[in-house]
Amino acid sequence: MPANQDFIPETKINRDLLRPVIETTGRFYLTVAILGLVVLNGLVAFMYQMATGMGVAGLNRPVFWGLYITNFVFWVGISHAGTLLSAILRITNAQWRRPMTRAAEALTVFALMIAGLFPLVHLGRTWTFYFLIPYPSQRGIWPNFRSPLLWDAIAIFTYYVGSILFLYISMVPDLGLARDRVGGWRKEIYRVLSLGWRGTAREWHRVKRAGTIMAMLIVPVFVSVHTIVSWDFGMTLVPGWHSTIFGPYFVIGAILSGVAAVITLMIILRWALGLKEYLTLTQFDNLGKILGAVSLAWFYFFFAEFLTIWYGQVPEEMAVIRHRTFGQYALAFWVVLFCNFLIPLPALIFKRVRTSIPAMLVLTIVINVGMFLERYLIIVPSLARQRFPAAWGSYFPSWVEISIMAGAFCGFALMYVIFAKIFPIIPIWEVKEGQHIQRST
Amino acid sequence: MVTIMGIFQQLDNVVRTQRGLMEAGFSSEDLSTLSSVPLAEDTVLTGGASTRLPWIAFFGGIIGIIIGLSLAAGTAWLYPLPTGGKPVISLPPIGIITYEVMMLGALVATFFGALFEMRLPQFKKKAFSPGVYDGKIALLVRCRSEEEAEKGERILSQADAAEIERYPGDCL
Amino acid sequence: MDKGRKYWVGEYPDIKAKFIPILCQQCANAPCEPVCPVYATYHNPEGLNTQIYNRCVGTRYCANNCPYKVRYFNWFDPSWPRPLENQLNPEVTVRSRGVMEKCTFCIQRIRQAKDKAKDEKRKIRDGEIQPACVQACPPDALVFGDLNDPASRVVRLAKSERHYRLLEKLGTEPAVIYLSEVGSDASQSRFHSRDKDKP
Repeated sequence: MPANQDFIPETKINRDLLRPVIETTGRFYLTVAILGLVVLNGLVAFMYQMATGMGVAGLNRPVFWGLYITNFVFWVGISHAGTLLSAILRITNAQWRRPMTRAAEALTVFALMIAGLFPLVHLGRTWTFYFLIPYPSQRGIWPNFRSPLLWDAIAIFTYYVGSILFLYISMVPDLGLARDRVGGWRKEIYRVLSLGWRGTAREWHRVKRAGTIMAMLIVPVFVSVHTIVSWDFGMTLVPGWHSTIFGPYFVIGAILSGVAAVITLMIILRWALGLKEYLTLTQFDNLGKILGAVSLAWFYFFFAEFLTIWYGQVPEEMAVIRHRTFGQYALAFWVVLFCNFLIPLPALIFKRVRTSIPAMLVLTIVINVGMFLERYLIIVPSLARQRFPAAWGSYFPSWVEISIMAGAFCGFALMYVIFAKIFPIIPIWEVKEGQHIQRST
Repeated sequence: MVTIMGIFQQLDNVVRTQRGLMEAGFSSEDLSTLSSVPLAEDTVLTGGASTRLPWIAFFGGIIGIIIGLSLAAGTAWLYPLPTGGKPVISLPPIGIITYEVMMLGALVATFFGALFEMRLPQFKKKAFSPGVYDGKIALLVRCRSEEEAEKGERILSQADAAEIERYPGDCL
Repeated sequence: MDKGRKYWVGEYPDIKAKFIPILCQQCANAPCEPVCPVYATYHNPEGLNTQIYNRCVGTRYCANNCPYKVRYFNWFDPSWPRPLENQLNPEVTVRSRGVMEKCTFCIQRIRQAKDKAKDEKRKIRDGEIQPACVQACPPDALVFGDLNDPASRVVRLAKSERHYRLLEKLGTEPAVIYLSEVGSDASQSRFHSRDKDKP
């Protein structure tokens, strides 16, 4: 929504925001083809792993968890942007949220899909994944709800269902528009998905009420989801993992990487779909401020975790900290500190940086590189340096793990590109409502 | 029963016409608008009867609690397997599972409750004009008799409605 | 069972290698058990920490949470050059890839001894059950028996001044009891934690 600018006529909004849905360029097919190839490569690597054994990954005792779990934590983290930006900004009635809510919600849904794949990829016997689903079977046995992995599965399922419903219900009015403006084979899809939406006073009232209630419900879920992911580690006796700080630390890290990912995506969407009039510098400026604040909060937890262990000097935990800061993983440690705090915070202080699209693109990618390595640093060095030095080890990902990870990144991009192709990625009615509110004040 | 529909360009005009219709004896229950943005707060309409959505969410949460408890505590009790010296029915994990399923219940109930209160999905009601998406506002009037319909159409045309159409049945 | 672990004690030139065999400690409060999402590992009524291979999906969470690092994962399907498959123990199944492995205290021998005792309508005699490691150890350094039977040899040995359990401070209540070397100062090794308040 352009602040302090002329209002955009509704006919032009319809035209601008439905154009990416209606017109398909060669660039779209090329993108899909390239992404599809990388996804295919990942699938082949995964099948090879299933057919041969988990040993094709770089894992070995004592590092039983590696890149797959890092990816899982990272993608769950990324998914937290959607609720933060959409739900919290909706509850607080921040008007500048309007053009970016759907992009953020869709990010949540697709990032959760990718995150959900990794535990399955990680299983030693993926084909028995249904043992984890609670259903009455003739074996008479249910999953163990005392296991943090089950808490995880339930929390992520709740979050996933909640975010899909949240995304969908606020998209119904725009699907009604698409039904009446898009021809061809897709018309029938929109007709069914829009459920016969017409925009009566009653429908609008309920859509807004449901949106608010769901936003309020999803915020506590969002805090619990990443806390529970952190408890996968916090519940163990592993030195470096067994810590109460992990809950809030993971949540803040999730917000940091999530907000950064939303900004990256918005920059790409703005460029690829020509949405300069809608995703304006106001959004980037405000998001930049949030990002700076979250980076500061992240450092607070990072420092508190480190300080507590260093000051206590408990030998088992010091072995982990020493390994992380000056041992085999030292490079990653310092990269994390620079990527997540020392570079972004001073840069984001300046409005000139926050409103510069190239600078924000670089910064947000830097932050997500940092956040990925942070997850890796939490998981791997702790496992590699546990109590008995005779059982110390090391880990480096194999080509299979890297192929699957590349496939996951491209799979996310592929789903997102196709989503933005089929559905209006900017919430058309929210943009119009923003103008409507502005005009009446 | 018929529904008449008039198309307007300006919101002020819609509000004025709604007042006129209500003075002429139409109840606000029989009036509605079609618009491209939410208008309920700006017009004399309340957007239908008061909503029960918060209660629907609440009861969804209660059902979630029951399901969560039976999953976490019930299944452990059905097939007791001791692990790690922890009680078979351990409260902290039950709390976590129950909380998550409670939220799931509330979210799902809100979604379906909203659809139910919106009376969607429905594909039959025809009173609609695609011009609504370009910023026009349609005013719908439900009329119980032929006289009411004629009276309504007269008021709409006096209010300079661009098009006036008539649809059979209740199309609110 | 682990092949045993070596630790270096002291400073050069008075340096000594210490060797401790570390097998599954069969903890009473086993950290590996509650984290399994599918009950593939649980505490059986005999107090054994059992691994149910065909329930295991391979999350490897139990292995991460084992402070003794005595859980092993089948990264690949096991294979042997011919005719070495003939050396496989016919009383134990061969586990596939993707499941956890651990010391079972030779549960098949426990079952056989119990069956035999039941047939002969008597209780199991002390020392009747011998896991393979106990049977194979020539200097009789490993002893297996019932800790709940006050007359058993293991209980007598466990009452020794020299007894300690690995990482006892973690509260995992291991069922494996070690006896420190005669004449050695147990406090020299950082892996001993002797707690005299406990029997």
